[in-house]
Amino acid sequence: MIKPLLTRLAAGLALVGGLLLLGAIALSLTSMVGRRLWAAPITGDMELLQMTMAVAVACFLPLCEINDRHIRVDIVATVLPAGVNRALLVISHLMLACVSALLLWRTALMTQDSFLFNAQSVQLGLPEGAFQVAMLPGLTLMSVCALYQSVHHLIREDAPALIEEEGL
Amino acid sequence: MEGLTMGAVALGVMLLLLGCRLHVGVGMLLAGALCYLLVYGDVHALLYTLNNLVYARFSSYDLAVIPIFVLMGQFAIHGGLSATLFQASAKWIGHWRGGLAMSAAGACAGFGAICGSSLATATTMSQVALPELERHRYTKRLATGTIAAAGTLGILIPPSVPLIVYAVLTHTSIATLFMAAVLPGLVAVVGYFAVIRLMAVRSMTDVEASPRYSWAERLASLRDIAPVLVIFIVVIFGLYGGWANLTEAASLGAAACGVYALWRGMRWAGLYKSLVGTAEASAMIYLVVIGADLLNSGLALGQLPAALAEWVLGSGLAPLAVLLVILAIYLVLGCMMDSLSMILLTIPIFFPIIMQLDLFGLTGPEKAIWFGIVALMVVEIGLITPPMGMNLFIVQKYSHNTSLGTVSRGIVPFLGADMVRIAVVVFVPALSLVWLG
Amino acid sequence: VTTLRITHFLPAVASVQRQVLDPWCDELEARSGHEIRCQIYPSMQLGGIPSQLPDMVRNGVVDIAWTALGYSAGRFPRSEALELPFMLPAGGDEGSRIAWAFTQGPARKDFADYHVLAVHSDGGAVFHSRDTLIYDAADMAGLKLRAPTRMASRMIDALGASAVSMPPAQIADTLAKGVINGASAGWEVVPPTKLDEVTRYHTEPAAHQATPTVTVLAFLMNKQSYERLPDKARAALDALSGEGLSRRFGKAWDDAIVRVRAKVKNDPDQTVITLDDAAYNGMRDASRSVTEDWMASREGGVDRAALVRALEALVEQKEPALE
Ligand code: NA
Ligand code: NA
Repeated sequence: MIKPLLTRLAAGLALVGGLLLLGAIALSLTSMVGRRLWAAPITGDMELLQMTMAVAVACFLPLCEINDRHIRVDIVATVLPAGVNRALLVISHLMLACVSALLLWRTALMTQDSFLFNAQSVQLGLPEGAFQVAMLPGLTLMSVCALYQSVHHLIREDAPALIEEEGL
Repeated sequence: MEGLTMGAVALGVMLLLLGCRLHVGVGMLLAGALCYLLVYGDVHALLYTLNNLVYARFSSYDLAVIPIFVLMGQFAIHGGLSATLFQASAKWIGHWRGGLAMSAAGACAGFGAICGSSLATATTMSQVALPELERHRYTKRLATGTIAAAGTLGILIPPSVPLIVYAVLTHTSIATLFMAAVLPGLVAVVGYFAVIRLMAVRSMTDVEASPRYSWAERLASLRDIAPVLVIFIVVIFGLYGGWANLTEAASLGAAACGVYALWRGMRWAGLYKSLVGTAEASAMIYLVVIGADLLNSGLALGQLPAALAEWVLGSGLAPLAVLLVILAIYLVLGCMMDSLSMILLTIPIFFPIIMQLDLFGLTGPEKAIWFGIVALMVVEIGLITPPMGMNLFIVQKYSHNTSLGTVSRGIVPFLGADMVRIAVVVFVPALSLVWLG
Repeated sequence: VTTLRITHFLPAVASVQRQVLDPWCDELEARSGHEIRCQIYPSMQLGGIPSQLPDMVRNGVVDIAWTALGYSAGRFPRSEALELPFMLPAGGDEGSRIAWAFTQGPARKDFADYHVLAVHSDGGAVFHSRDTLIYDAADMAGLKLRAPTRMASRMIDALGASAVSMPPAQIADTLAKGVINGASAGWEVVPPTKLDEVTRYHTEPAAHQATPTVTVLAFLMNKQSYERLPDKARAALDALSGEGLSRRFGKAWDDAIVRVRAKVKNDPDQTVITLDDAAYNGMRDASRSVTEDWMASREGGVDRAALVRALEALVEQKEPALE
């Protein structure tokens, strides 16, 4: 019941990130065409792309975790008994939950600083803090998804021992 | 603590954590955090370094081409490009002995010119080519070995995610690296063709030839793959003809691939899958990138790369011997890790060493390009070395009732071809540098 | 022994490290009776991006950083006045004297969170062009020029060209492909970016003219790191920082400028153009709107008009010969 909800949230956020990615692509194409044909590049296209992509990538994070697609070294898993493997999975997802919570906290602090010190993009003078705030939901949801995965492996035995590689 | 000792401790802890099945990015990040704690003795510097970590990497202009290339590959997959490529090449060379396997390898090469990932190439080609190969009574060993090996063309032929990461780490031009990878990539295709031919002759009874097609049918098949050629040429010309930088060329390729996929019947469901697939693959890459970033700055904090380079220079080892040791380390690591993690982990350590060595009289910039291609080749082998070869897992999954053992035996001759090619690329630097002029 | 961790965004072989930071560190170590040891981390080795360097200093991730103020837009609003068009004299030494005095005086508030070791100028920008001889603003109409800072972009736009921003590493490649027609960049940028291989014409101000724009660089130290130092070490650091160090940076840039300029001038394929007074006045008047717009902004409660007046008075006092 929780998993479908998390998956939907994560997929929704990933979709938002995907649309931002499409936007970034459109932006760089517009800038390229403008520059070639009318000698009129979009001012600050690079910094706009950078800030947009930062938000997009943060939005991508939760889905990868809830679908358990992150890169892991599974060579040891092949020789360990199932119980140990389960314990390792509980720990590994818990560590990701902690690390992403830590990153969320620190990124939030940086965002606060950006507003406090009026950090701007170089060409357009856009507030960097506004884009950094938009990264926080992705980090939050990744932490929640990792916590879910950890608890899931703790209480359910049918969890797969090895990740499946597909859909790359 | 001295640089080398601290580096050894941090890398040891990291390998232990990775062995415990931690996410690779998390393991690297924790090992990097350990370096900060060892150097500073408190958490202050570490915490404030983390303030900047995520935004700094996520907003990197150079890395931004990765999701764009990933999306381009996704459009190619959901636009049915892999099947089109395979069918077209089968019409040209499918009737040769082993020709269908060669067609699969050729289609992988074509797909690799659009897609920057080996796993994506192996996945989509497994789905398209494995059933056909099995229908024509190719042995499972040859069929799975072919796809697993040729899947690595996804990163050998540009665009290539590991090369982008190498370029970012070493401040080398991505476009130049892509150009340098073209010829070695084609050599790889030739090598795989040779292996398939040899294997097909040996298993004479198993391999059934597919029908020979008329010239009219062959030429008609070109019409189907023409869009691929157009997309590739548009991207390459955009890049080298000077009207686009890499990000713009990638955007152009992704847009062209998207339009092609729509024309081939991709609808909302396909677009959704493409975006979601891009999200997952990109998130996977970026998590490792930020982990590696903290590890690398932690190691730099303890001066490990400099200390190691100094130690290697002082040891009096022949430059070539050092190079061979480094290559050997890659091959060992390749049995455990994936290509991207290997690049992110090793390049900051090995690159300063390589740049200090006198190898084949190459200049600094030449050496940076050449070593990038060599590193790409050796990490690519990691994808197909048992027991941990991602491509092996993928083809095994799509080949019914096939054991990992069968796939592993099937890959051995291709590994042989890879070794020969690596030797050629190492000892004939001109192969990677011919475009530099 | 206190270790001072110093970081910057250029490679270890760059002249800022070779010519200034390394020898400065050696002197500091000796003068402090070896109570201080420097550890330099080039190329952003400690992570982050150049715009985050001031934060890294403020938060104590490093003790000292060398950075361009313009990279961290919005953080040093008062010091931005130094980048205004045709404000400072050309030359590293002259510009650095003024930059130091201005950031110690009228713009002091920008640096409340830092112990400032030096603030210096890069000696000013030169217009490098591929195909067009730039004698005056009219020659710039329609050109696409790379700009190093936001202020430089506004100036280039005001002069009738269009500004494209990009990091130094991309300039030569983009120029060779004809994506841009030229670049506004200091002389010292020419050799590392191979700018002389893709441009032939170089337009610079005359000795008595102000430079089109400068890049302001600062050598910033964490306050606690400074206060923590033992007395003798702090005295050594004080003696080796301030206006003296700022001018030392400036002079190192001047050395590079003289060297590069001579090399370009002696190259028969290259042409160096010096602005005549009419062209100079035309450019200065055309870009006056940039300064006026800047003065009109009250963002962050900063009285920019007063800052410009103060800076102009300072320039008048230090460089009376400047037009
Ligand atoms: Na590729
Ligand atoms: Na492997």
